[in-house]
This record gives sequence, C-alpha cells and structure tokens, in this order.
Amino acid sequence: MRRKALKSPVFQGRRLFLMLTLLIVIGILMLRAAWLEIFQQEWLQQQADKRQMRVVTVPAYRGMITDRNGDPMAISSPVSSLWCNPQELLQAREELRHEYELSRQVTDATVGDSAAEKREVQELASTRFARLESGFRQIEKELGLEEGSLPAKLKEASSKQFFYLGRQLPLEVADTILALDLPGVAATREYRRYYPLAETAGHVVGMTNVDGNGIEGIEKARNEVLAGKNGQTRVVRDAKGKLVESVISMEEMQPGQDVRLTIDRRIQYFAYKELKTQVSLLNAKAGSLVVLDAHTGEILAMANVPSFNPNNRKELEPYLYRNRAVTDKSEPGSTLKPLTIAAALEARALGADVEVNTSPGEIKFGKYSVKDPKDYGSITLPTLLAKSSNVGASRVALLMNARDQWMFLSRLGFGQTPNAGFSGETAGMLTNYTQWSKVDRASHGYGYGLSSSLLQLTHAYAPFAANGVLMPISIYKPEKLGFGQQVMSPNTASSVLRMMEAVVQEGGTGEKAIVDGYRVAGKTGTAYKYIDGQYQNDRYLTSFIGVAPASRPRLVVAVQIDEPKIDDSGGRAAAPVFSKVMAEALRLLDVPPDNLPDAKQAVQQAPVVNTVGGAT
Amino acid sequence: MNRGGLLTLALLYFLVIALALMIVVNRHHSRQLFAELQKLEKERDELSADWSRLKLEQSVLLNQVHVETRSKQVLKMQKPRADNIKVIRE
Repeated sequence: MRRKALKSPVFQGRRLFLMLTLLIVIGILMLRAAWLEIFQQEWLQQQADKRQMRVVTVPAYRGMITDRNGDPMAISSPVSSLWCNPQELLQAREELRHEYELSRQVTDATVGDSAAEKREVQELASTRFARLESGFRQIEKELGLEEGSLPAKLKEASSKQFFYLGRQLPLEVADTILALDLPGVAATREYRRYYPLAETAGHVVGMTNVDGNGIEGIEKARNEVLAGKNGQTRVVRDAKGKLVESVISMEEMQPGQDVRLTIDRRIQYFAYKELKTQVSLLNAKAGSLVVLDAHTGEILAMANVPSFNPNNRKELEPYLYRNRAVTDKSEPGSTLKPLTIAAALEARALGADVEVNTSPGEIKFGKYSVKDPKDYGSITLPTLLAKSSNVGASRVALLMNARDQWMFLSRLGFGQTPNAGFSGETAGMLTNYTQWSKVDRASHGYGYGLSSSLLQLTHAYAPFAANGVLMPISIYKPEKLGFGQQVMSPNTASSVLRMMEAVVQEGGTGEKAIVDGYRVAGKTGTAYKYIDGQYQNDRYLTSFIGVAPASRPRLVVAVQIDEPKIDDSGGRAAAPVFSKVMAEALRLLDVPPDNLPDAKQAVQQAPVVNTVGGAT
Repeated sequence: MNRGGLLTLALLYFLVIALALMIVVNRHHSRQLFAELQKLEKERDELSADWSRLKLEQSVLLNQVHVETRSKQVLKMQKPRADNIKVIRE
C-alpha cells in the first residue's frame, strides 16, 4: 500500500533511458534475426545442409544367376564396408587404452572388499578396448593383412579425413566395431558376389569387379538386368555419422532380377572335371566342351580349361578368362564331314547307300593335293566317316555345286554369330561361294578353309538329333520354346545319324566314345593349325562331337582339346571325355538306355534286376 | 478493428502455434519411424545374409562330389551297368 502511495517522478529520465536502451537492444537483435532469416537464409541453409545432409546411395540387390533348376550359380551377400575418420578414431583408441590402463592400476592398488567391484569396472573398460582390438584383428585376418598392421596404417593416414578400415567385410566383423559406438566410424552397406561353382563355371557365369559391375560372362552380358538400379535418398546425419532422418527419396531403388540359365550344374560340374583331367593327362594347352539339348537348343553345360575362380580376383590373367568355346574360332577339320554328306544328300547329289571311290588315296588340284593315310578303295558312306577319308569327303563335296554346299553350311549357322547370349561370340568365317575354286570346294568338304567356334559346330550337329530342325541356341532358360528351322529333311538327318553310328563302333576312329547302354553317333576330328602360312604337323586341335541316344536322339556333346602332347591323328584323345560326360548327362536327365545287352534275358531276370535297380 | 476481427486473429494465432507444435511432433515421430526402419533394414540385411549363406551352404552340400562319395561310401550305392538296367516303357 505504501508503495503505491510513494511517488517516484524523480527518476523519470533514467527510466526513459533504460526503456529506450532496452528497446534499441531488442530492436537490434530482432533486426539481426530478421537479417539472418530473410536475407541470409539461403546461405545459412546451405551451410547447414552441407554439414548434416547427405545423399546416400541405396545399393540395389544384385539378382542371382541360377541354373535350370534354380540352384544358385552366383549369389550376392550383404557385406559392410567400414570407414572412419583416422584422427578421431586414433584419439578414441588412445582414450580407451588410457581408461583400460588406469582401471588396471586401480585394481592393482586396491585389495580386499572392493576387489570384486573394481574387477567389474576393469572388465568393462578392458572389454571395450579389447573388443576394438579384436575387431582390428578380425579385419586384418579377413583382408589377409599382417597382424597389427591396421593401427600403423591408421597412423599413416591420420592426415586424411577418410579411410577405409576394410571393404566388403562380413557383417559380424563390422558389427563388432560398430557396436563400440566410436566417433568417426561408420559403415556402408554393399554386396559381395559369391560363386558356389567356383572355377567349374567361371567362363559361363563370369564375374563382377569390386564395384559390382559385371566384367565377364553372363554377369557382363546381362549386367543391366542383374544390377537393378541403385536408389538415392537424402538423409540427415548426426555428428557421429548416424542417419537421423530420411528427408526425401530421390530415386527409388529397384532390385536386380534373377537370371536363369539353361545350365545344369550337375552336368556342368562333371563336364569340367572330366575335361580338366583329360587336358592335364594329355598335357594339352587348352580344352573346351559343350553339352547341348538338341530339341530345345539349350546349353546344358559349357566348360573350358584352363579356367579361373571368380571368387578370387587376385590371380587373374587375361588368357584364363577367355570363354574359348564361344570366342575362339578354328577350322573344324574332319568333324565337318557328316555335314558335307548331309549337304550332298539334301542337294540330291547322291543317295545314302552309294559307294565312293577313294582310289588311289589322293586327289591332285594343281599344286595342292588331298591325301588319305592309305588307299581305302571303294567305300560306303558309313565307312567314309569311320575311316575319316579326306579323299572321300572331297569327292562328295565335288558332287554338288558350290552354292548348295554354301547354302547348307550357312543355314546351319556357319559365318553367323550364334546369338546364344554370351558376350564376345565369334561368327567364325565362311567365305562366299562365288570365290570358291575347286580346291576350296573340296577343302570345305573335309573341314578346312572355313572356321567356327566349338559352340557353332555343336549347334550345327543339333539337327541330326532333332529330325533336321535347328533350334535357336540359348544360354537363358526361355519362358516358352522358340521356333526352330527345318534345315534338312528328317530322312537326311536320320541317315547321316546312322552313318555316324559306324564311327563309334569297335574298330572305328571313335571307338573310345562308346557309352555303356546307349547307341551313340559321332565323329572324330583333327584340325591342324595354320600358323605362319602353313599347316603345322605337330600342333593341332583334336575333337569329338557326338549325338546320343542314336535311336531317339536328345543330346549333342562336343569336346575339343587344343594341342595335346601325344600322337593322336584320329581324335582319340577327346573321345573318352565325350563318353564319360555323355553317360553322366544321359543318366542325370533320365534318358532311357536304348542299347541294353539282351532284352529278352533282362525280362526273364526281371526280379533280380529290380532289386539291383532299387539299390541304385 | 472490431471484435470479430480480433477473435479471428486470436484464433489464427493459436492455430499457427498448434500447427507448429504438430510439425514438431510429427517430425519427431517420423524420425522415430526412420530409426525403426533402419533397424528393420539392418535386420533384413542380417536375414538375407543368413539366407545367402544358407543357400551357399546348401549348394556346397549338393556338390556332386559330396553326394557321390556319400552315396557310395555311406549308402553303398553304385551306378548300374547296362546289363543291370531294365527299361519299362508305358
């Protein structure tokens, strides 16, 4: 009450002064705020975003590559790439060490009641330090570094702001370090590619580089489908590098799709194993093998030796990862003879049951001559194939005109890229018939003067096994079958098939290609290499291509071995591989045998047979 | 300014304050959800790592050599020879 009564006009001036000062100060502050908010807002926002906002890439999951049954041939597994700010991490490490040392001293000093309690403290500190150290050890082990070398590397990089502790680490290893919650350490999610078949299917599947782009094989050919699309998100990060908020998703992540191949991994594995064994047995330079389902045009297996292991990128040399069956072309040699006969049959230049006179075992064309090892005299077409007579094949080729011969070879895909879905497929070489002289016609008849990849040659044999229909060849499992092309009459196909059966008989050049329980038709081949302007007698490719079962053909298997170090003129080196791979492939595909020893006896012994069959 | 105008102004003022508070709440909520999303994504990664590891393991066990040796040694199986096979055609 007294207060109200008391008048205070005395300090009017001061009051006014104070009020004004306050007003001015407030005004300045407000002006400043307005200035920052209105005129400098953009700049400040930018600065803030620079410090907090990051555009983070959301990696897309790379699709699987599976075989025809859906088993993985290449699979991505999430991994972490751990990175840090070396300065901050080293400092944090020192602090942890200090804490650890200190608590140890404390425990040393104290004895008695508090010992248990102190031990707990020490354990807590030591585990954090020890956990960091053991995390380092794990990274070193994972990356194959020397033990204890990581902290040294950190010190080296301490002038930098960014350092990869380790790329593509297993999630657990990265988590042991992340769980310590250290400043300046963070992880980026990435995917690592694993290839369960390793070198067995290296050429077909191919591989990716460190950044996850396909650089070989299917990985390269189908990179876009497999890779999907990385997404991008704008995020807010806190001081420790943790994500706080996703502001906007700029690009939606699209996961990669699976790619299904026509390969059967069981056949693939077996084919590779057998090929490798034979190549090292013969001390050969290389070898290739293709297994083709003639009715669908699907490649069931494709192997090359030497091969590479796509899981391990370190030991790679360019010559190892060439898919020879697809990219390398060579003259096919004798394996082309059945095609010559088929062409002649199609052109109605001769009948299936004629005899060809090969006397005197040599044809002369000016300075060139075609020779047989000896004079076979007058021989039937099956014998021509069984003996692999060059003179006979030349005679047959000369019976038709060049155009028919060229048209037939061209229809079978010679000189054209097979378009099976690999990268780097060769088209081979088939010159135009208008340039052919008589010698060329003859040499095309026994497989020289043109070239093809093993894949093309295998494909060209497919019509023999599919009633004369050539199905488009593919490594990708299609939704539904494409349409084939009738390249020869079913009659021609079956008569040539019968002729080729003569090759795989006791006494034929393909004797070693016999498959237990199945009738096999095939052809051996030897192609001398043309180097420095002449054919080399000691350097050649030996091959065998065959079809089985001959009564109801299904598969074509082609084997080619490059420069075997043995004397092998009749293609005997490749035949055993063919036999084993064909037998296994037919068994795995449940193709019924068509050449059982004695059917009647088997019927009588049916009960016995069944018990044995049941056990297998 | 009349009474109605003042009232509207006051109402709008409170509305602005309320909306501002709601923004704060929502933002917090969205951050929480984002944190949860990250947790779930991490879980998904772990699961898919597990999955691919199991898939790899499976394919190792399905390895032809493994199956063959086991069937030969453990189950005493053998490949039938041609004279042991009988084909029954339907």
